[in-house]
Amino acid sequence: MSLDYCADQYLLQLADRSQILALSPDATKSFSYLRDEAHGLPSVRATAEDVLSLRPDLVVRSYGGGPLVGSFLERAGVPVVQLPWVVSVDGDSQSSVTAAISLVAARLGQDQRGRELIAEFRLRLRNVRAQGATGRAMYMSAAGFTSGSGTLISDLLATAGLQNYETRSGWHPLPLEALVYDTPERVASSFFGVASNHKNAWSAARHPIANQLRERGSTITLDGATTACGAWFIADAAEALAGVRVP
Amino acid sequence: MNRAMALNLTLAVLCLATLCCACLLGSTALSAGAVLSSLVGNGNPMDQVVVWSIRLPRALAAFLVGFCLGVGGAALQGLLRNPLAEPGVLGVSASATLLATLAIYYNLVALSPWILPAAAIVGALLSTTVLAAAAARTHSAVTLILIGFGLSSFAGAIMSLLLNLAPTPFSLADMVNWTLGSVANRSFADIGLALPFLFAGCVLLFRQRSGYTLLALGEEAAAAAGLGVARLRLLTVLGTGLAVGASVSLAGAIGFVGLIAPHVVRPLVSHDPARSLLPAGLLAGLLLMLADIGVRLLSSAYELNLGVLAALLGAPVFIALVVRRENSHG
Repeated sequence: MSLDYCADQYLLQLADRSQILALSPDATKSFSYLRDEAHGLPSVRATAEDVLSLRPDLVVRSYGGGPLVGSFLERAGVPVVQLPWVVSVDGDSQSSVTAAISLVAARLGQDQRGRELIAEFRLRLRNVRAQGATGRAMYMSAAGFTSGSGTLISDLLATAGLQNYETRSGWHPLPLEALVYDTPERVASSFFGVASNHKNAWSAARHPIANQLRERGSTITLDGATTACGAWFIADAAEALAGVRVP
Repeated sequence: MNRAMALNLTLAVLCLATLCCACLLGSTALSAGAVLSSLVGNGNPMDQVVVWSIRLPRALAAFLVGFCLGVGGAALQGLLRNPLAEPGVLGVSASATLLATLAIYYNLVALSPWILPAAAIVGALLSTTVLAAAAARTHSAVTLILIGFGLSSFAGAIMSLLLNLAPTPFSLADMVNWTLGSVANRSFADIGLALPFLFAGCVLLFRQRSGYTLLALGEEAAAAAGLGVARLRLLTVLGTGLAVGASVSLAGAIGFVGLIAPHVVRPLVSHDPARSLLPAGLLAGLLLMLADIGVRLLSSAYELNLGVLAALLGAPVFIALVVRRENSHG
């Protein structure tokens, strides 16, 4: 079973349907990539008691249940797969999408399916790289944040051949003032009207300067579900950025 | 020139100077000369965009929100004859915040951008109405503050419930910001939505100011002098509802400035509630602009929220006021 929408995706993709005991309540929400597949499967709240009463053989989680639930379940004799905080699409590190796929596939006894998924993922990324897009792009989330180096988004932009506008590392509020003087060629916007119908009333993305930038025509709107969680479907976003697919 | 006028003039000049100072601050380095020439419409067009659409609306929003809270605080103190009355302490800001959040939660704001200030104003009116009704029955200042505290806690509890049941992890941050208060990223469009209500509320309160002076003599004496106490109460409720609701829709809940500003100016206007309205508004606007400058100077990677700083500075002052009041009453 899985405890949050991110873990749900891995379980839905890699496990046999009969292997899935329950998914998180968010599995069918709009920001869950495999929401259609999740319909009809039972859901479980990420509390220790609810989880234990279903007697799972394995629990997959990224953040669901809070930081203590992992060690609690382990003590109760239920093995837990902790998904890494994914910051790169591929590579040797434990925190890449491919490493996360291998990890879950191995624990589910679905190595073959995991290898196939990774092979397909790498093939799609190669196509994206071959497209050879150039220029600078800035990521803009509806909440008014942009993403610098050391994040999955930054690696995603690099994979698509784009140079990240934000040169600092980590997540930052949109640099509105800097954007007045120096505008990126492209804007990759995400979560606008997708993940949440609640527009953030405080977001810098609401500011007229950010609006102008988005309306300029070189904006690529990413489906929030493809970037809400670090997994193989980030390839959809990479294809959209490189112009391989129309988002 | 009398003393009150000199005070107002000094505060107005200070406000204007602070507004200009606030425009000097930002993430890009702009010289004072570049900022000033942008303000008067000259200079580099990009500098003008930065000053006019990022820095000035932010500073102006801080001033307007402060002004409303200061005037609202002074009016409530006049009506309730209670120096501890304040939109934040009495739960007016909290219930305005709650209704604004509800409007966003149920996506009513998608219908019209005016829904947001309207919801905040309805929230503010709900609690000012309860307070005015309670004030008509009780003469105890403490009871009134406790009722306000109850309103505030109740609104806070429903707010926590909403946070608890937040449909997605993404909408949490949005709702939390309402309770923390901020003027970051405000634009003239945001100010435009709040301004009509803000203006109407403040005008309404200013027109009642002589009533507060009469009321200071006691309700019977004021009635004998020809004051319609019920009407004064109703119009003050309406005025503070409009002004505080509009300020909340612009900046979320920001506490304590409405308490401190009237308190500071009162001795300077010979404790006349009527004459404290304007300087209280100006001082509160000045304080909030200064606090917002402080927020930007103190912040590193993540910006502090204005309401947080206001509460950090304001709450100890509130406690000190209560203690002093207790001592002076023996």
